[in-house]
Amino acid sequence: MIVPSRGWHFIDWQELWRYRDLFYFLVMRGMKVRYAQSVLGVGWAVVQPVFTMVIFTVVFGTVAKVSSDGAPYAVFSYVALVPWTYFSNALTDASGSLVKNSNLISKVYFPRLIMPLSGVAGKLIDFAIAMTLVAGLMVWYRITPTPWVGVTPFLVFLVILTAAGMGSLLAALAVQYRDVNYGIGFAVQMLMFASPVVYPVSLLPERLRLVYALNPMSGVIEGFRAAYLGTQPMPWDMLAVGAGSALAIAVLGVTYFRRMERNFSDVA
Amino acid sequence: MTDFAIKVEELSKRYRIGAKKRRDKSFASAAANALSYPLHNLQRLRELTSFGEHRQNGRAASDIIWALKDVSFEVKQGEALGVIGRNGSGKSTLLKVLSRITEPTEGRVLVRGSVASLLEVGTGFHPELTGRDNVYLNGAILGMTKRDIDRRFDEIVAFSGVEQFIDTPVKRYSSGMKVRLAFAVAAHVEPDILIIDEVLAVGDAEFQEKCLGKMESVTGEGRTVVFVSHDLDAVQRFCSRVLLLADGAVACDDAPSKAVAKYMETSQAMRRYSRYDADGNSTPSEEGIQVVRARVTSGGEFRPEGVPSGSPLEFEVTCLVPKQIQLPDFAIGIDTLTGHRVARFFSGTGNLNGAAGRVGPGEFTYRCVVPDLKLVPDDYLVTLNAMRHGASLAKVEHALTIKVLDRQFSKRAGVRDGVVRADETWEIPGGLPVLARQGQRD
Repeated sequence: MIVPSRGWHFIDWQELWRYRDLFYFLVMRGMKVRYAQSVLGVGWAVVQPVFTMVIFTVVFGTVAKVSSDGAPYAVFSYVALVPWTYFSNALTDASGSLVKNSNLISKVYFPRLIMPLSGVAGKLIDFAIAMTLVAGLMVWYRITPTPWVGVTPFLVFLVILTAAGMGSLLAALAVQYRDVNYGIGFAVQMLMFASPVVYPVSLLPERLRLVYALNPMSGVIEGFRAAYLGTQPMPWDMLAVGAGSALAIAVLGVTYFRRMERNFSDVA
Repeated sequence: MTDFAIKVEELSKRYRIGAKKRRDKSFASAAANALSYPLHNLQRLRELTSFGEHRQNGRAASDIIWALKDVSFEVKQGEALGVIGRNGSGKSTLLKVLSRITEPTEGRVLVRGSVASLLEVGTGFHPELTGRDNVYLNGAILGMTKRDIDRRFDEIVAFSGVEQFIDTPVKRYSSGMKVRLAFAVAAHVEPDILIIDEVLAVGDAEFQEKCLGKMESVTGEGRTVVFVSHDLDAVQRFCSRVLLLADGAVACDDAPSKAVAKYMETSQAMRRYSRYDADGNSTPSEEGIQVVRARVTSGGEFRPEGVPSGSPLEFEVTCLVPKQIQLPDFAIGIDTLTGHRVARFFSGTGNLNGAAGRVGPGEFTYRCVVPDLKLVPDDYLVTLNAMRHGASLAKVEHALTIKVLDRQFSKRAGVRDGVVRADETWEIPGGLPVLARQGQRD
């Protein structure tokens, strides 16, 4: 039955499950296309965070002498950069996904939510590859991880929620207002400074801590550091706030996407 | 009780097209507009998806068009429905709604069974991926599961003919190979309802034949097909019913030949049946000859309701010459409604029963008798052409229409198979071979 849809809907889980093969192939496509005819291939997944780490270490660690809670600045920033890189890439990928695939959207039916979600899922593989270097770095700097590393899946889940929610919202907006596409790269960079990537949360005044935690990435990044470097205790308070806001972002973003979904092929 | 596969009820679809820009009358207003430019843009972009009934700032809703308006029809299971119409008549929009790519503005559609749409061949093909990867991706896009594709992979590759290159990136394929591979995937989707949009426009003749063959086997299996095309011959050959769309509404929903006739009718200026009268608007050539009257009779009788196939036809064409000229040759062409020439009768010098020499001033008449033209029942158009040395002196395209009827029945079959028929006989020489014994099967 095809009728004009009215009102607000949430996710049609059944339909998403039915199209899981397409989801899988889109993720595969993203991977293969990126590394086709490339020499480094999957090595590129590591290059981005590593080079950024080097530059940050020189600029922020050595020159500006930003505090790193006692750990060597290189590891301090790398452990933050891995989840951050995943988040920013996933977000950028997801928000542009509908516009980039407008030819598919106008010719085939499939639940449109698959597009931003496949962007978020695809970058997970890069994340996993970059994480392997964390082990290497910790050996190099002779740091023992705390037992909290087991929390990593939960932290990753928070990142996925946030990226999926924001990505869906931005993707839906980008279809209609191309400004979103142009601004996303720059906005993500600004967002990086609103997260404790180059500096630790301990630098901020105590009363601002929970407000700061509204950015889910704050809790996640500090959580990563607490788990792998042990410089601070696990920031459960920030994580609680962050989890709440991640969930809210996810729900709002996806709901907005679903509301605008009916117009995508007309507007793309 | 109809077992329909698709039922469309009062379907309407509205679009907002590009808005007109306001002209600035003075520099001051131009400057002011430059500043409020982002605001206007925001408003304009927001409106892309809203269709408020109220009009803002006196701006009329002139940029809203109804691509489809109150369209209703039914498609039975196993039927092959053709959809024809001019560009902009709403065909592609209708397909998009049926394929759930876009939503209706009003009305509804009931669909029974799985739907696969071919709106474009090779949707989702990525040039960097190999043929194999693209088969999987394209198949998944069209709704197949990985298991389905695994099962049919070899068939698909064999159908396409690109086995040798299946593991090279698609960007190295020729366009013909790409199209063949894409269609091979699409051909194996096996949905309950197949929707095809002008896919046959690409590809060579062999490919088009393959496509039509595959589509025929699809209906043979009891599946429903909705087929949009500009190729009227293919539509007539293949579909059991045709829908004609014009300006977003259903103009005709009938047998293929009727719908095609109506389509041609609206696209051609004149429709004359069996009698032609020049009403002063045919320009005489430099020799001054003009075709003024023409008619077709059968057995001496005027038969506007149609003639059975194989009946004798007499063409009488009257020409007017203002001065004396050498008798011109005359050609009578018979064309199908879709413009394909099926026969030509040429007077030529020496054919005219001894008449030759100069003629005029005044009127004179050619008479051409065709004793037994065996055309397949359909409508045919007659073109008249006075010629000299192969050059046309006075020509009237499609001046007359001949309705050819079935020999046995007076109503015409809906589907035309070819253009000619014959009085053939069938037999098995030597009779049926007698089998020694029936083979036993378990």
